[in-house]
Amino acid sequence: MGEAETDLPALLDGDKDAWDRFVVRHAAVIFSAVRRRLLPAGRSGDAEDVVQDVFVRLCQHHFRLLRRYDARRAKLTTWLTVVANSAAIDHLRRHKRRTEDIDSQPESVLAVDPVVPERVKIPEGVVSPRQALVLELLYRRDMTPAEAAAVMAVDPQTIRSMHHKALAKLRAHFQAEVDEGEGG
Amino acid sequence: MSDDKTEEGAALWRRARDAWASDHDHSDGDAPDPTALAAYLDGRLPEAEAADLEARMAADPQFLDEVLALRAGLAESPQKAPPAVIAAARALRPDSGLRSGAASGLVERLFAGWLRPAVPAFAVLALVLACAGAFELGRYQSERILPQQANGAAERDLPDPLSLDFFI
Repeated sequence: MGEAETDLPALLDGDKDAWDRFVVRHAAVIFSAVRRRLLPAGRSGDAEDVVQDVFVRLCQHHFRLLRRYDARRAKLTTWLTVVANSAAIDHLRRHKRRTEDIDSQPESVLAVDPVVPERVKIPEGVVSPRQALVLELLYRRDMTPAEAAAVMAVDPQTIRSMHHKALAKLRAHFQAEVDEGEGG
Repeated sequence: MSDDKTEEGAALWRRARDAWASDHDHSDGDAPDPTALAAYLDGRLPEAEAADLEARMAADPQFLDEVLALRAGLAESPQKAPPAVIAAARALRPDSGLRSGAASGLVERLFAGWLRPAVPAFAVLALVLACAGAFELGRYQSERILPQQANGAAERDLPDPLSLDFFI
């Protein structure tokens, strides 16, 4: 039996043994994902509580969350990692809200116009989202085409091709702006 | 610069990002669907859906950080969970001996399906029945007490000579 097909039908039907096998098989994946997310925030001591919270969420309301898993779309371990990561983020947010001390906050956080992460709004028709992501990974994350290819699950040659096309589009876009400026 | 990357490319992307910087959150909601994100990480997400996620990754550095951290984490071997964690998670589901899966599942589904929404109605009905019962009990008690009181009053009003004992 594959890992993804951990007799889920029996589990969802309320089979206690299937639940026990599911827990034993996947606790490590969930624990690792939670701990990995809590560690940089100095909250790895909360990992056991958050893991328990993940298991509660999976089985409550007659496995409502677990029923949303689709084995055709993703591996169960990947899906559980994403769910556990989200639970850890929720935990950190809740903890932050509870313990936030106004005196300990940097001014940028308390400013009327807080400094937000440098999001961008990519205009339509200039570069495609995939091309923008390639440029972001190569230039701002300083990845090699092979590393970017691993992130996007494509061939490195595809990354190189998208990179060159994106740069050509950007050149054309900014040249057109210059031409418009000179013309107007 | 290596790997086909150029100084000109870096400058172009820097210029584009500066021109397109936005204070607003253009993401579609707080968090992407876990299944879609997992499918993307497994390379199984259809191209159109992948493009949506990649647009968000390109536009939102925090979200890109999350995806990169998830991918790095998936490449690592999982760490063993403490036995206490496993025991606590197993205890979340009652033992088979105490609960027959299919039967209790049926009861749960029945309760969740239509009995649970009817709970307020049952509460109102119980309240109405209690009020009606109390009213009936009060009426019954008053019916019993009133004749006695009437009899008592009548007895008190009657002169002793008219009492039966008087004739006897």
